[in-house]
Amino acid sequence: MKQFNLKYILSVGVSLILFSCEKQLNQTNPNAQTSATFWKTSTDALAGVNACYQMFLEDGGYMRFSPVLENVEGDDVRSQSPWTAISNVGKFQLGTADLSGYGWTFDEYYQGISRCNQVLTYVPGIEMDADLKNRVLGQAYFLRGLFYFHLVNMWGSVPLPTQVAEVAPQSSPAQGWARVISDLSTAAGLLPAQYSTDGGVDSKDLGRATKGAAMSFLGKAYLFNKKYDSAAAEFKSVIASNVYSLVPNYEDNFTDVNENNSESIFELQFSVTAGGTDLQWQGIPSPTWGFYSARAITFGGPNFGWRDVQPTQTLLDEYRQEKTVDGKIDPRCLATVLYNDTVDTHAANTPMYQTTFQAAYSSSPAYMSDVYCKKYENWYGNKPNEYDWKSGINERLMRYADVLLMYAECENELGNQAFAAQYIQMVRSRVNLPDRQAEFAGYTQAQLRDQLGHERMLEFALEGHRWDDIRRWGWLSDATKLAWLKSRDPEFNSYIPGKELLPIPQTEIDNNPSVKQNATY
Amino acid sequence: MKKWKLLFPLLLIFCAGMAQETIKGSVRDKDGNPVVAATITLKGGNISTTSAEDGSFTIRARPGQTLIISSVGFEEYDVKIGAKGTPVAALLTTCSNALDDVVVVGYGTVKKKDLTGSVSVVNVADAEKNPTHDVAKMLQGQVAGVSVQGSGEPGGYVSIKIRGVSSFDPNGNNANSPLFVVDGVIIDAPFDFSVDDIESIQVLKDASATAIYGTRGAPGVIIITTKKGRVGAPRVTWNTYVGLQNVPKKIPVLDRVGYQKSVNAADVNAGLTLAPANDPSSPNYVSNVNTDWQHEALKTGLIQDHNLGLSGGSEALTYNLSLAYFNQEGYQVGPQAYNRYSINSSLQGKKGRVSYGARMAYTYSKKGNYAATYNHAVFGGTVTSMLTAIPILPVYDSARLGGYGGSDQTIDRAISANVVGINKLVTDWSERNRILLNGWLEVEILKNLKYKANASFDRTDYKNYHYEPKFDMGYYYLNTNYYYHQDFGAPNTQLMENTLSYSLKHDRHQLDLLAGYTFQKSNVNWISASSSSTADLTYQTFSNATASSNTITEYRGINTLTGRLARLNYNFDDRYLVTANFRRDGSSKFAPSYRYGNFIGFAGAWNIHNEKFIHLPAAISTLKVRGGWGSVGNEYPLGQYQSQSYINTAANYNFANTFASGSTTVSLSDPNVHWESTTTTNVALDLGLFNERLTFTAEYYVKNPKDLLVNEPLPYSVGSNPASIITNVGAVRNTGAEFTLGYKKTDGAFTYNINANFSTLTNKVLKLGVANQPIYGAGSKTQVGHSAGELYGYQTEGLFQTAADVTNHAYQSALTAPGDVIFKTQDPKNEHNNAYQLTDANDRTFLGVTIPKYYYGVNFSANYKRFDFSVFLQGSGGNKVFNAVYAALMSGQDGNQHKDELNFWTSSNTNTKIPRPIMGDPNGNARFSDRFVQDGSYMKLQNLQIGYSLPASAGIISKHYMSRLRIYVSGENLLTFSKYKGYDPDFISDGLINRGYDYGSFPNARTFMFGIQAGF
Repeated sequence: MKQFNLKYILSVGVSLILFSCEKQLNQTNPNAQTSATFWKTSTDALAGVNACYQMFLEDGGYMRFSPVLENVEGDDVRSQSPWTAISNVGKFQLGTADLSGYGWTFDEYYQGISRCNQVLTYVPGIEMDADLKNRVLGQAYFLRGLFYFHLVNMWGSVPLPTQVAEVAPQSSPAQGWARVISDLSTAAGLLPAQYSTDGGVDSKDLGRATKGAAMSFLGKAYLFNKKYDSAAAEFKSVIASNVYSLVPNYEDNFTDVNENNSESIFELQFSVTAGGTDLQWQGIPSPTWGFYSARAITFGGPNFGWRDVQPTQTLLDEYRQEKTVDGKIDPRCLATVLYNDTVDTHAANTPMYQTTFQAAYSSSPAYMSDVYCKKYENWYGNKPNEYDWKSGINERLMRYADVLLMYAECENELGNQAFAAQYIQMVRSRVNLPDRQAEFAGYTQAQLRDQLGHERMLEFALEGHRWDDIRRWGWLSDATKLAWLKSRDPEFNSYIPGKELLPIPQTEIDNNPSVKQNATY
Repeated sequence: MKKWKLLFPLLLIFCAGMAQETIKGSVRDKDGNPVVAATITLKGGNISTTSAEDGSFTIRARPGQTLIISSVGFEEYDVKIGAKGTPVAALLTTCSNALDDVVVVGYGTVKKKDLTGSVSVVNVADAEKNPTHDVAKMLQGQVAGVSVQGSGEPGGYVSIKIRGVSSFDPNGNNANSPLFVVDGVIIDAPFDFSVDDIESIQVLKDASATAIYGTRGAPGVIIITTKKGRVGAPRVTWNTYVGLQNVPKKIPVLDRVGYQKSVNAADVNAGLTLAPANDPSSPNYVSNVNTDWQHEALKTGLIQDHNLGLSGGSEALTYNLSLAYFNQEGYQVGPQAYNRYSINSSLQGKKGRVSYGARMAYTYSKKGNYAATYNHAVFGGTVTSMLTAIPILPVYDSARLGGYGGSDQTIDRAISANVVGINKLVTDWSERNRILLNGWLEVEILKNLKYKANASFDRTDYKNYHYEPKFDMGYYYLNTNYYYHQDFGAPNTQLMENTLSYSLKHDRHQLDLLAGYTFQKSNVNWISASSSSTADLTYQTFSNATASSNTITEYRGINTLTGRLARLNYNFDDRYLVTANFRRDGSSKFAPSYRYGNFIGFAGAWNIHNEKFIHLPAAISTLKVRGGWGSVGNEYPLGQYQSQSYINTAANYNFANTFASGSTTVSLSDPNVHWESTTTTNVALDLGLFNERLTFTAEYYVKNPKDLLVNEPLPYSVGSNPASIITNVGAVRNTGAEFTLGYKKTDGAFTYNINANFSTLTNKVLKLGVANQPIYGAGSKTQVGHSAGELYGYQTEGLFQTAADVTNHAYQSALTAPGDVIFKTQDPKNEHNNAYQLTDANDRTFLGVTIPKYYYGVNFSANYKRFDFSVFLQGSGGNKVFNAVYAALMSGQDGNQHKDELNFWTSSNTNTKIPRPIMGDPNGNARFSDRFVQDGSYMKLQNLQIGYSLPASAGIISKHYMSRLRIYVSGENLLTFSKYKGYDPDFISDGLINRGYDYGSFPNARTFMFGIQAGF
C-alpha cells in the first residue's frame, strides 16, 4: 500500500511538472515592443521619423566623420592627424584594408536610409491626421534623399534600397542622382514651408526639414548634375519664398548662440542639454546617449583639441586678398580660422577659450605660426578646451548664402553674368566687402566662374563645400588647375585620378555580390 | 568483510608464539583521511588483516619484512617494517586508471571498463598542482582533446574547448566553452568555486556521452564531483600555499636615445620638423628622462590559497564543509587583485530505500580590473600600452592633475598612455556574490527501479564598479569629466530534473535504463547606471552626482529549456556493450515552430580480452574497441528573444534643444533560427598491459557541428546594426586523434608514474552563409575550406631599394619610396606594372592556421620514501600567431619601438628587413602582413614540485593531533621553449575568429610557491 501511494503521488507529480513546464517555453520580451506590433499610431509615425534624423548625430554622421570626409580633401583644409583614418583622407591614401571613418559613414547613412524606408513603408497604412502624415512622409523622403545625396556624391555607384531589409544591387551614379532628385522632389511637395504656423504635435520644431530645405537640396542636386535650368528654378523659388535672409553677423552661423536663424535652411541639431550624458558614437542607440558633436575636439587646435583637421595657409592667404570697405580683414577670416591674427587685427592678442592664442603657444614658434580651425569651435564661450568631447553647436548643412551663390552659379552657366553678379555681391556685402557687382557683371563666364570659386571658398571654408566645388568644376582633370591645387595644398601631390571617390567598404563588396570597388582602390 | 574481521584475530592468536611481534600501523590517503578496510598482507606469507575505521591496524610480523597494503581505488603500497616499536604509516595514492573506478557520466555512473563513449578521467592530483582560481585553467595539458588558453591576469578569463570549435558564438557569450556539471547541476562560470573542493573530473567528449546533456552538450561536458564526507569521526584537513609571481620575460624596447633616433627618422622621412622633445636644438629637448616602463609598471605579485575542510558523519548523514580563500594580486603596479572567499557544504545520506543529499555553496569574489577609461582608449590594453609608452615621459608629474606624467601634444606629439597612472587613478572592479543550492532525493520504488528528483537554484549577484576622476595624463589622456558607472545584476537559474532508472541483471545480461524530464529556467536581469560631469564627485554615490547627468538602463529576460531524455545501456557478459541515447529538447528562444530538437546517440564496445575464443598474450590485460555516433543540440549561442526583431526607443533627436523621442527597428532578426546540432563519430582502442601497469588509449573522432548560428555579415546597404544577422548557416568539421598513455611502477620505496597525452586537431569550415560570405577578423579571415580564424593579410617581398624598384612594382601608394615594404600582388589584375595597378585588399592571402595542430602534456611523478617529486610539461604547436604587440612596436610611428626597429632601412643600411620609419606610414608598412606573423608553437615546463611528508613519528604530528603533514615547494611556468617574440605564446584571445591575434594578453606569470597539506 505504501508502495502504491508513493508511485501514485510520484506519477501525478511528474506529469504535473511535465505539463506546466512546457507552457513556460512561451516567453515574451519584457524590454521592448516587437517590430511586428509597431507602426499603429501617429505617435509611432512621428517617433519613426525622428529616428531618421538621429543617424546624422552618430560618428559617421556629423558627430565627426561626415565633416572630416567632406573637408579634409579640399585645398582649404589639411590634416596632420596621427590617426590615418583622418590624415589619409586629405592625402587620398585611404585603403580598403581599414574602413575606420569612411566605412562608418557609409554604414550609418544606410542605417538612416533603412529607418526612412521603414517610415515610407509603414506610415502610409497608419490611420492618422492627413497633414501630419504628409509632413512625416515628406521628412522621410527628404532625409532619404539627403542620405543618398551624400552616398552618391562621395562614393559614386552605390546600392539604392527603397524597401525594408532589401539587398539592392549597385546602381550607376546617374541612377543614384535620379533617386536623390525623386526623393527630394517628393519631399518638396509634402513638406510645409515652416512648422511654427502649422500647429499639431510637431509645431515649433525648429530643425525639421521644410519645403525650402527640400528645394535647396534639390537645386543643389540639379546643379551637381549640371542641370542649371532646373537648379535655378528651385533656388529662385527658395529666394522668392521670403522665408530666409542672411544674418548680419556671419559668425552667428557657426556658434550655438544664434541657431536655427533666418539664414539657416537646414541644420543638424546638436545639444549639450537635451539628451543623455554618454557620447553617441555608433551602435544600437541607448537612452544614455547625448546629442553631442565631437567635431570641435577633432578640428580644434593643439592643447584645446586634437588638431586632426586644420586650415591651410592657402586659406588664410586667400582671406588676406581683399579687405573690407573700411580696410579691415575679412570678418569671415576671423570667424573661420584661429591664428596669430594680431598682424591683421592690430589687436593686442587673440582671445580663445579662457586664454589667448599668443599665451597658449608662446613656447612653441612652430605652433604660433600655424593656422587652426575656429568655425564650429567653442572658442568664444566659457569652455577651457574641447577635451570633454561635447560640443553642442548645430551643423548648418544648408545656408541661404549657399542658395544665393549656387543660384548665381546657375545663372552664370546659363549666360546671365549680370544677373548672377547681384547675388555674389549680396553675400559679399553682408561681410562689408566692396561693392563689385558692376565689375562682376562685365566678367566673362570663365572669369565669373573663377570669381565664384574664390567667393565660395571664403564664404564656406570648413563647411565641406570646397571639395565638392573642386570636383564638379572639373579641376582635378584640368592639368593647370590640378597643378595650381598642388601648389596651394601639397596633399594633392598624392592625388591620382579615381581617388575623388571614397573606397566602398570592403564588407559591402564581400556581402553584396553585385557591388564592385571604385577604380584605383 | 565483517567475517574476515572476526577471523583475523583468530589467525593472530594461532600465530602467536613464533618469533614475531605485533606491528601497529595506520593507512591513510594523501589527504590524511583514514582508509577503512584496506587489506594489509605480509609479503611472502599468507597473513593479512584489514584496517579499522580510523585506518589503524595491527599485524604480527618481524621487523624487515614487507607489508603489501591494498585497497580498492588506490595504488598498491609496499612498506618495509622498521625497527621494533616503529609504527607503520602507509600513505595510499588514488589509482588514476583503475578499471573498476566508477566514472560519473550524465545522470548516472558506469564503471570505467563498461564505458562505450569517449570519456576522459582527469588525474586531479596532477591538475591541482597548477596554482589557479579556475578549474578550466587547471585542465591545460591534462586531457587529450582539451585545449586551454589563459593569461596572467588575476581572476582572468580562461578559454577552454573540447575537440575544437563547436560554435561561431554569434553573441560572444563564450559558447565554445564546455558545459560544466558540478554534482549533477549545470553550472556557468565555474571559476567562482574553489578548485580545492574538487574530488574528481571527467571530460565527456563525444556525442554518445554528451547527448544526455543535449541542451548544452555540443561543446563537450566536464563533470565535476566535489568532495563528500565519509563515514567516520570528524576529520579536518588544511591545505595552503603561498607564492610569488612575476613576468618571466622582458620585451626589449628602446630607451630614450634609441627612441629619439627612431622617431626623428620617421619625422625626417615624412618631411616634418622634429618634435621639440626629440630635437636637440629645441629648448624643450628631453635628455634627462629615460623611463623603463616595464621596470616601472611591473612588480612581484603574491598568490595564495587556503582551504580548511571538515568532514565526517554516519551512514544516515555524512557531511563535508570547506572554507577557502584565494588571493592573487597582479604583477602590474596598481591596486588590482583577485580575492575569493568561498564556503562549500554538502550533506548526503541513505536511509532504507531513500537516499538524499544537499549542497550549499556561497562565494564572494572581487576582481580588480586593469586600466580602462571610458572615453580614452588604452590602445591594446595595459600590456601593449606599457610597451609602447615613450621613454621620455616621467611616471610622475606633480604639475598634472592626478600627479602622473603624460605626453604633450605639441612637444612630444606621441599619444602615450601612462598605465601606472591609469591603474592607480581609475577604480574598476567586479564583485560577485554567488549562492548555489542543490538538493536531491532518490527513492528505490521497486527493487532496482529508482526515481530521483534533483533541484537546484543558482544565483549570482554581481556589481561592476567604475570610477575615474578628472585627470590630466597628457595628450589624449585628459579627462575633463569624472565618469562613474555601476552595473548590478542578479541572474539566476533554476533547474528541476526527474529521472527514473531501472537496472536489470540476469545471467550474463545487464540492462540499465534511464528516462527523465528536465526543466531549466534562467532569469537574466541587470541595471546599469552612469554619471559624468565636470563637477567633482568626491563622495562617489549617484546621490552626490549632478542629477541631470545620471542615466540608467535596465534589462530583464527569461529563457527556459525543457528536456526529455532516455538512455539504454546493455552489457552482455562483459564482452559486448551497447549504449543508446535519445533527447527531445525545447527552448523558449526559438519561435514555436522551431522550438523542439531531437537528438540521438549510439555507441558500442567490445571487450576482446573477455572473449574466450581469442587467446591474447598474458601481458595484455585489457583490449577493448569502442565506437559511437550521435548528435547533440545547442541553443546557448542564441540570446534571449533574438528570434524577434524589436523596436528601439532610444533613437532620439532634439529640435532646438528640445528632446524628441525616436523609435525604429535597428537590428534585423531571423525568425527562423533553430537548434544547432553537432554530430560526432568516435572510434577508440583501449589497451592495458602487465595487469594495467601500462595503459594506452587511442581515439579518432570526427566532430561535425552544423546549423551553427553565425553572425552572417550583411551588406551595410541593408542598414541593419549590427551589419549582420544571426542565422543557422554555419558548419565546421573538427577531426583529430588522441593518445593517452599511463605507466606506473613500484620499485621498493621508489614508485613513479607517467601520464601523457597527445592530440591533434584539424578544423575546417564547411559552410558559412547563404553565399558563404567569409567572416573577417583582426588580421584573419574565416572562410569555407579553411580553418576558423586563419591569418589573412599581405605577403611581403623585402624592401624597395631604389626608386626604379618602386615604379617597376605594382602601385602601392603615391608616397612609396625606397625603404618601404614590397607587398606581393596576389590578384592577377594587379600584377602588371602600371601606375594605376596596385596592391589592394585583393592582394591579401592566407598566412597561417591559428588553431594549434597538436597539443600534449606529460606528467611524471615519483615517490621515494617520504619524498615526492613531479614534473609537468605541456605544449602545443603547428599554429601561427599575429603578434600585434610586435606590430605596434615596429610601426615606425611615434610610440616606443622594439629594439629590432633600430635596424631600419636607410640608404646606407640597405641589408635589412626593417622598413624606413615614416610618420603617417603612407605605404602602409605596418598593415597586416607576414612581417608580424610568428610561430606559435611552444613547450612549457609548467610545473615542478618537490614535497616531503613528515613521518607519523615526527613530533609536530603527534603533538598537534595531526594525521598527516606534507610540505612542498613548487615552481609554475618555469621555462618556455618557443620562437615566439611576444611575452607568451599561451595567450588569451577570442579563441575563434581572432584566435591567433595577440594584442597584449597578460603573460602567464612565473610562480614560486611553498605549500602545506595537513590532516588532523
